[in-house]
Amino acid sequence: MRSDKKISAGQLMLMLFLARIMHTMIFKASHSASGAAMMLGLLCSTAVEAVLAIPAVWYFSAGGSDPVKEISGKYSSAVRFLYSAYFAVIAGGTVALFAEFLASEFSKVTPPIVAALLLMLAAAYCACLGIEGLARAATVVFWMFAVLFGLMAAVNEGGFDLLNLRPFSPEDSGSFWDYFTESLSSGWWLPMFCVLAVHLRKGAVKAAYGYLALKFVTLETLLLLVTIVLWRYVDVIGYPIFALGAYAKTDFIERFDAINMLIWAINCTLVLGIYLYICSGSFKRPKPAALLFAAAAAAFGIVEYKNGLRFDQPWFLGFKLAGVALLGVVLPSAAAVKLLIKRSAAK
Amino acid sequence: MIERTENISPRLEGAVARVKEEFGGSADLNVARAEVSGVKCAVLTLEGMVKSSDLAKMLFEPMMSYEQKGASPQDVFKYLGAKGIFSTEAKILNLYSELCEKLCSGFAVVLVHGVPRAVAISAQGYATRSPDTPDSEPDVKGTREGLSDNLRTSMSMIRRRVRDPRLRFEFVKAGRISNTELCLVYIEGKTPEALRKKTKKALGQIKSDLILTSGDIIPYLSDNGGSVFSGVSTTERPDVLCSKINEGRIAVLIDGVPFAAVCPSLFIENFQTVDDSAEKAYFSTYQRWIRLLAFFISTLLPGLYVAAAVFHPEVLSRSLLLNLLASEERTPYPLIAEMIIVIVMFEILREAGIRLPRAIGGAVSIVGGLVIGDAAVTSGLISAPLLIIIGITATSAFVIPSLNPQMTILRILNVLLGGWLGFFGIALLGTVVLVNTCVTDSFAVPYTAPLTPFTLSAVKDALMKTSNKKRPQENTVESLNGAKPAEGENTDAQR
Repeated sequence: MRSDKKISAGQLMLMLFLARIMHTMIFKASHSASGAAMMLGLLCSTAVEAVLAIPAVWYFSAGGSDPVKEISGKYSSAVRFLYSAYFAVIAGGTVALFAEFLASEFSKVTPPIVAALLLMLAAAYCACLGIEGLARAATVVFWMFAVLFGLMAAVNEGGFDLLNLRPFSPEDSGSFWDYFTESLSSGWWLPMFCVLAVHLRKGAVKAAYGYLALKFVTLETLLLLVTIVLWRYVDVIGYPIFALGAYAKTDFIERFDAINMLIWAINCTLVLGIYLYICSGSFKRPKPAALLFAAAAAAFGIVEYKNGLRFDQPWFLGFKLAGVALLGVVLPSAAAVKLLIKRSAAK
Repeated sequence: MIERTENISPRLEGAVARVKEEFGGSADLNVARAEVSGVKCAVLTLEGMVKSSDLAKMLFEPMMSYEQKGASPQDVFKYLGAKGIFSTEAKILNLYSELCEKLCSGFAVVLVHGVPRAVAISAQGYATRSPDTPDSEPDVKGTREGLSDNLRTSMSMIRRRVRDPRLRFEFVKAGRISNTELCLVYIEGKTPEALRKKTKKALGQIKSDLILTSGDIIPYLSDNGGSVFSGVSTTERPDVLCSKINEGRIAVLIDGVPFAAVCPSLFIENFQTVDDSAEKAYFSTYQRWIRLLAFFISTLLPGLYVAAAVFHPEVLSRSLLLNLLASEERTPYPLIAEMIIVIVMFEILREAGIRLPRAIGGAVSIVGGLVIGDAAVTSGLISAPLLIIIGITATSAFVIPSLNPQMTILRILNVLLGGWLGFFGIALLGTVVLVNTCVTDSFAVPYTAPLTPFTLSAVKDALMKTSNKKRPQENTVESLNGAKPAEGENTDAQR
């Protein structure tokens, strides 16, 4: 059943986007921050990411096929394992946050540990089916999101208060830096891109910069809505995006919370499937590898959840940033330079 | 067991004995002996496989009228094989294996003493059911004629609808014991050569002893072993088959089965019918959306109902919730058990309705609908809202019979997971099924096209019926509903 065919630039763009939006959804506001500061932080981090993406995008656009192989030759297995380990940790962090979300908002559903295990099991199965299935499913899930947001916007009873959007001031610089760092550390789309663009036939620029544009527009819109509709209420309710749904109401559907969770859970399973595919895709026997990484990520996620470790704690931020820098920027830069030298020598 | 290379003996008695031995003295092997201009001959047939009246006119009359003094066995054989017999198909056979194969296919075989060959004459005349209305795919304005059990009759139905020399029929044999004739149907120039070759190769790999249903060949045409949906569809309608092959697909007819397998097939096509072409575009579009809605209702509604009532009551409006609580309070079982009981009961009634003779099949719906349903609610065993949910679900399921197996199983799984984990369980199942479906291909054409890989123009055509005037006239498999792989995806079907 495993299918490892090529994917399109649009599909890669949507996979990266869904991974990012997953992180935004299960992001729990732990400190109050000015909306304008956050929006500015997002703008700056997106600009930095656009620059950081240049080596990887150039490498694939110039005809490079696999940066890991390019740079590490016969030691490529070791470097690939770095990617696997990094994404296993990211998967563990994601599952821990989702388990926390379920525990705090839907405590009746199932114990968080069971939820984490089931999520990983379903994700491992999806990963075993290959990148083509995941990429196609990403398109469907993206449209599900679009319909959900459209529907919630159409029936929203929340009032906009532009006074909530106070301008950026020097006192907000702390918030700005916090959000900038957080947003930049969520840039693991760069290492993701390096691994998944191997399956891309063409359109590396479209996939990378299309993703950045889509992410920027969507997140800025969401931040703006969260700020002008919720503002300080964010400190109380925890999940800002989730809280936006609380204002949506129809005669037939009283509250959208559970429907939000339904779509988020679908996205979480799919995104975890993509992470596990990245973890296991390069192994000779990817199916057992996917299961092993799923077990490892689940174990890590459960430990993280049980001990209250969070994605936005400094050690985790540092780990994520280091991964983005090494696997998403340094390595593709080295591969790009090597490719350039090879081309010059050939001429 | 006859070896494939064993030649027919020139001795008539020896040859007849060898064939009898091969058939193990089977009672249906008939041997008619005759003398033609003093040369001994034998006509071998299988009981009921040939039409006696045709055989008398085509074979026996010319045989008996042939009189030539001093005719040698070679002369008689030459006469029979070349000009003496009025048959549309006469073949000269050299091997016993060929002889047995022709006998089993309904040919009459003539052996002439002194000639190490035989003549096979097409005189098939076995009794078959006459073409019937396609019960499994009824429609309002399409043909009332369904494919026949008889392969030749089905072929003629297709030829009558596609009167073009580019229409091709290609025979393939399958089934190690049944030796069933399969027939590939396609339109030259529309069906990619690669698709034809792959299909033929796949049919050549069939390992089954018998081919009795289309289900015996479909697994070989679709390599998606663990897939929930199948990239190969079946049809009983000649008009549907013609429309599919006109889009560059290939169909496989099976002798003895009134269903043809068609590949590649797409998910979205389950929601399109022949009637779509007969109606106004706006109405057909509306109907397509209704069918799509019916699919999701049938698959998801019971699971969502259980999940919402047990875990997420906040989703339901207050008045609905109060009604539901009041009804559920009177029932002795938990909601999930109640739902499973009703679904299983419904499946039993449906199965009984199918298996029973038509004359009394209607009684099942009376027993099910009135007696069991009404009594269960009155006695307080089952709540009324739940019965309404099942009623809507069951009715929706009837809208898309081609997806009934998938809908039935997914419905039960949704109820189980919805009852155990709420919407979270439904989400897990939904993602697994979604990815599984997305990975399903049929001859490299994605089953989920054109929804994903997404093609805007094709999505429009698939979900919104366009006017017949505006529809593309030159369809090919590459363009069918956007099955053309998205930019960057593999393009095996086109190669």
